Amino acid sequence: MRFIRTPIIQTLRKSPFEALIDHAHYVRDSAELLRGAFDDYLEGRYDEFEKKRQKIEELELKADYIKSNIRNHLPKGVWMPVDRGVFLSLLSEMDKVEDIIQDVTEWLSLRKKPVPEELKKDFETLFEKSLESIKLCEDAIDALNIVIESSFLEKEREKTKEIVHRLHVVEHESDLIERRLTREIFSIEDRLSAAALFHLSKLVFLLGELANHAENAGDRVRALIAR
Amino acid sequence: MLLELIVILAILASLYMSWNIGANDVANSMGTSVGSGALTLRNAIIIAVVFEFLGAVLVGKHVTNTIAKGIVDPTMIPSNTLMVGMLAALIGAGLWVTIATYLRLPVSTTQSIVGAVMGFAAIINMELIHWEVVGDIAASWVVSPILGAIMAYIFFMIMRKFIFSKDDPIKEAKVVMPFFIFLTATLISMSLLFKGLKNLGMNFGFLQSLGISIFSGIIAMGIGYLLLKRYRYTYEDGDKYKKLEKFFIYLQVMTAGSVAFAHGANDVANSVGPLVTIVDIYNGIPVGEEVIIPLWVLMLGGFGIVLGVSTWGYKVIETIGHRITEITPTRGFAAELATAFTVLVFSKLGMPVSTSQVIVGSVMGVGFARGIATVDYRIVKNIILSWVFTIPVAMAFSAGIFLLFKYIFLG
Repeated sequence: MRFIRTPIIQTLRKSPFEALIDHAHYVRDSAELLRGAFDDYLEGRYDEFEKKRQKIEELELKADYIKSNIRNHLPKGVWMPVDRGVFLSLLSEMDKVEDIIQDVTEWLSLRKKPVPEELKKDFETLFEKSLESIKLCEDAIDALNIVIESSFLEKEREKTKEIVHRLHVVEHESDLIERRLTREIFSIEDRLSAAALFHLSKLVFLLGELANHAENAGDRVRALIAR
Repeated sequence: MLLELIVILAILASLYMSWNIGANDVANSMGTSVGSGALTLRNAIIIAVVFEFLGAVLVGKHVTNTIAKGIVDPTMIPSNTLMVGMLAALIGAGLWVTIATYLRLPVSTTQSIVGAVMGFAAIINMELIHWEVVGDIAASWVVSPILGAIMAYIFFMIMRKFIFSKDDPIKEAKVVMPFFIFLTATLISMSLLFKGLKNLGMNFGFLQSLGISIFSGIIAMGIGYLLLKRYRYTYEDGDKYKKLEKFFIYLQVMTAGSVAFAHGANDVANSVGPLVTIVDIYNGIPVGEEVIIPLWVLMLGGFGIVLGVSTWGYKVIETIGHRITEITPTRGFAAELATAFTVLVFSKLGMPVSTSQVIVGSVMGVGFARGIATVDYRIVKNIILSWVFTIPVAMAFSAGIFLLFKYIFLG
């Protein structure tokens, strides 16, 4: 609007933390959808699975939009109470998580075949762990926002560190299941087609990556609140 | 007849300048409160109108004095020339502010009028300019935003230590805030009483004023305490700070009013300062050590500001309110209180400072305390650029108009 010359308006910008939270919500929603999508996949409800995959794709687009928006609105010269570089790399880790969720559904949809009965339980646990790590990521980002709201109070920082610590534990558990599951897959390799072997083992790998990037995001949160 | 024409033109130019001050600068005090939902637009306008007017009429004379006779030596200029010069300054400053506003430059009306008054004087004789006063004013433009920043930083750190860090921050705020109310009320009444109400036949000495001010501060504190005590709240999981922000919405109404008051007190001079000189000469009052500031002139300034607020200011407030949500009520409280204090103190010292620039300084002070998610420091460069531009441009406008008017009015 013309005829405004008030410098205060040029001083303040919309908080990128709010947008980061929105982004994290989309990631969490996608992760929950992924969990449900995998159940559908296991039960052979491929139509349902496709519907969820579609939704995840939509969420990914929205998350992507937020990400670009944050990046474009943080030019140099804008001061933040945290390290700008680390903040952007947190965003990029969260975005990788979202991308991998999409990759997993994509990968599943390439080959719609039943999963061997004896692997089902561990796969479910692995999906569960990935979901858990992503939820913790979201918690960590919420906690980060409270640290900002409280203007960096020690006790709020402690709470955040606590969440990041739990995230590490979950990632480790996920690692263990990942290794075990890979061994199980290869232990029945004679019964599996080469395609199934490749499909299942890469699925495990992707899920492991999910937890890894969630953990990275948690580490970034911790770096942000460090003094 | 010619003199009447000059007076009428000066009144119109002064009204226009006040209108401009009200239209744009009032958003500084009200923008955050409207943005945070503390005030509806309508109530914000009402508060702004009342406090701007009171500030202008009751405390406006100190800075007005500086603009009217501090910057140039009025005794050394023939009174007809001085009248024309002040008229040129008003019109020149108004012209520059209008152009700058259209270009959305963050210029200050204060800096424009100071430059404009220097401008016509420079044409007559450079030595007429009181350089030491100009130096003080220039220094106050640097010092005032820094002081605002320091105070805002301190206020916010106090709030952080005594309120934020507690398990039940609202409960603590109910105890700590009355103290801030005390400070605010004391400062405002001090600004009114000390060397203040001569117009109304009251003249208090320093200690007398201080006593009355502290007394009224205590009363305000008591009222504030009782009002805040009644505030009901419950926390839910993890929303402690959000609830605290909500509580501060009410306190922000107080700080917004204080900023409006301080703004009226300081900025009314930008429009009525030159007018005072013109009116005094017209009334045959010799312009010397003391200028006589007729109450109606201050009221005219206040009226112009009010007019600006209600005809255009609300649009600016609305625009800013939408974009300013980033500054939450607790942060707004610290920044606004620091601004009100700073501007009020400089007003009493007769120093014309820019409220807009002080509030930017204060917001940065809260930013330094890690209180705000993002602060765009590039504004500092823009503000400094606008200083650098404003002074010579306003001088040139005023000088040009002065030469023209001198030709028309004085032959």
